[in-house]
Amino acid sequence: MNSGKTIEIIVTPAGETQVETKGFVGGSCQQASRFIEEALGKRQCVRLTYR
Amino acid sequence: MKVRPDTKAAPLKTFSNQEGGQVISHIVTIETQVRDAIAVAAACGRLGLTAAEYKTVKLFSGEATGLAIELPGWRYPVVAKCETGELAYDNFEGRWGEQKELDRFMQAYAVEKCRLEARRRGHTITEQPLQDGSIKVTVQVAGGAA
Repeated sequence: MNSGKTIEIIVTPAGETQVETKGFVGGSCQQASRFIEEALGKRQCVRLTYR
Repeated sequence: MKVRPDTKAAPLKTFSNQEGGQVISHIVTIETQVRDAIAVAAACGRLGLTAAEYKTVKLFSGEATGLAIELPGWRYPVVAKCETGELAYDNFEGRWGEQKELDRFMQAYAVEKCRLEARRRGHTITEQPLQDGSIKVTVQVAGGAA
């Protein structure tokens, strides 16, 4: 079932990744993508958007 | 011998558009670390490379033990130490192997790792090449799962 919640990962030609969550509310957006972030490597930068 | 990533990496930076309120999205930039042998195998398959083998190999300066990845045109293999996420290699600033080949491998690894992790959780994945050479992986989160 499509929940409308997505995690978008852009992988650059050099292999660096940028993970963005869409369709989540509150802190769940940060939890939702944590598994991908931890699997990929080390967090370098976090940008938060507030309502 | 070079080791990647640099162990003197900068600390995590955090930016936000407002203090307080409710977080509605976030963007995280990640330095890819090679820690998964299954994703290494998938990346090699994706790029048509010889399957990586766990062994000790001689580089120009010293030896390294881990998954040895043979990149096209590289004199020495790249050794992935999955327990630490480090890569060891000697390419003499591009003379013994083009950086772009290692970059291609890192991109393939990151895409395959995303696919593996998303599939393990029952999520749906789509992949799209972008004009700048990046690859966009979209994970549709399964209903009810966070």
